[in-house]
Amino acid sequence: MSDEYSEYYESDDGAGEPGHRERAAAGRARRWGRRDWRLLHRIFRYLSVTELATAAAVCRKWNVSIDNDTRWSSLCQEMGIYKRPFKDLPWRRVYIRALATAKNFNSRTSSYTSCLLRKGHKDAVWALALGKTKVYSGGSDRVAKMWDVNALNCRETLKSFEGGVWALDYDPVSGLVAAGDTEGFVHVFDGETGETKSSFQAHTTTVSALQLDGGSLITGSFDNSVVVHDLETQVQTHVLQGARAGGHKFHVWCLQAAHGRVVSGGWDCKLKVWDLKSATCTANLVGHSGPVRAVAFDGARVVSGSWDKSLKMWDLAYPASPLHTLTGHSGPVSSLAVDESKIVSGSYDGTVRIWALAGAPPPCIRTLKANTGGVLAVALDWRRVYAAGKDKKIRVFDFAAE
Amino acid sequence: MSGDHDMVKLISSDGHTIEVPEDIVRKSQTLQNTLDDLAKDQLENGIPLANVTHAILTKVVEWCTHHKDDPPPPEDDDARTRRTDDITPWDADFCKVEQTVLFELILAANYLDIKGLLDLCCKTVANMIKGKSPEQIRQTFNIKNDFTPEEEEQVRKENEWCEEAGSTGK
Repeated sequence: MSDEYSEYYESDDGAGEPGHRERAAAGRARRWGRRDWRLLHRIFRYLSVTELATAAAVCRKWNVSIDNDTRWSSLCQEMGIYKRPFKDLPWRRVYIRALATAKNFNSRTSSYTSCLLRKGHKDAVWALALGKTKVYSGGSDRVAKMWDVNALNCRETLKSFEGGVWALDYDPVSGLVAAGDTEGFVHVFDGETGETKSSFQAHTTTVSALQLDGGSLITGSFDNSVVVHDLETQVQTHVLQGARAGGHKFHVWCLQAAHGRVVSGGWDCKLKVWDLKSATCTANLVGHSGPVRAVAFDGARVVSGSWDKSLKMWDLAYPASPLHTLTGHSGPVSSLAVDESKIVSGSYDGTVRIWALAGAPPPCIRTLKANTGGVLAVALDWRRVYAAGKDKKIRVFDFAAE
Repeated sequence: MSGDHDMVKLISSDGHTIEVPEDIVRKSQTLQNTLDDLAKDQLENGIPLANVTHAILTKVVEWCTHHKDDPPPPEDDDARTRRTDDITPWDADFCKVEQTVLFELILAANYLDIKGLLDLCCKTVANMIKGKSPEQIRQTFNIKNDFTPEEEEQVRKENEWCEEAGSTGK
């Protein structure tokens, strides 16, 4: 800093001459206006994003300085962009591209591209999870794969599973991925390197759903239970099961935890809301006429997908009946992904539907032909929908703006 | 090393010496380091500040004196828009100076590493930018528009996106 400063003053000779100070000050003011905005970034920190955009239109110097504001990369991160998706594009331009992409995504008519991931699974793909820089997939071929989120090439194939990989989850805080297989085993691995951190038998039969939640791992199984494990010791801290505790009567198919509660869905056509502290079932969400196969939960709202071909939205403040029922799929709903503006659902009818959360009930704004024989898993990021299915394929729909 | 009432001599770039109580001088991280690094007899002739004029130094000392009992400012958390509506009336009055003086204060506060003063001056300049169009900003700070028409069109398009995002609360 002091180097910059002295350079700035270097040409200010003639100290002590009459009128020196005034002339020097005038000279400095001119230079400030012309080129000496070294501390610009400190001033720009006090401008909102909108004000920054206006300031970027003032002159080239300001434009470049604003391109380099650290807030753009954090804004991108808020949108789930951790790895710069377009080469040599400053984060501000990435952010602008992401805004345009979000608009594309939520439109009924914008164009998109689609592609298949190469060198994929040899059997049905049952699970997808999204990391910061990777996409994770698991299949009946007993492997989990790691894909680069930008290049979409396979970076690693993890082969340590006893059975088909049916459940995957990524924890953005720890960077860990958990995978559950049909033999009841759980593997936790590093999301970047694929290095195994721990593996243990969580259930004696299929792990159908799981979630990393801080230091815990929550698993749901075909043994009708939802179990909370301590990730470090692998000790079961809660077993949410049994008629007394109000547990599921049949297979658990899906679960999601948020803010100390877990919502699980199962073969008994019900969703159950569990309080993690007391390990009791606090509410049943009843309304589906078929098994509940997929759930998304943000702490207040629940979206569920069922074999009755419908999706339902629930408000936990009013658990007696669903807020909305979304119909359109011609086959059972297998999977869900939700962000702030939309729901993406995959179905055994082979399509993925995008529903706009802005409407009540949310209208279906797009139907994408994805996997013949049925979609088994979907994932959603700021630009893409990923759909995996019985046809062993992972199809990617990209809505990125030009 | 010494009591609160010790005086330190500071010599401005234009050759004026002023005596300032040590606890005031220590508001500057740069001078605090100097005081800690040098032996007392080395300080007797005063600390020369080749980069700060007498007029600006006087303003800086005035600010530090008023704020001498402030707690140390919190560490920076980078990725966040900061408030600019929390300037106290005294600070607002302090910043009612010519643009040139304000900019010199920014440079001096940066050189002397006085975070509170630097933040105040940057906030004040930011408030001069807020709510203005690019052309009004150029006029305010006497900046030349050096974009080509093509670049200007590009910038305009980019801004439409940010304005939309801004209006939805992003």
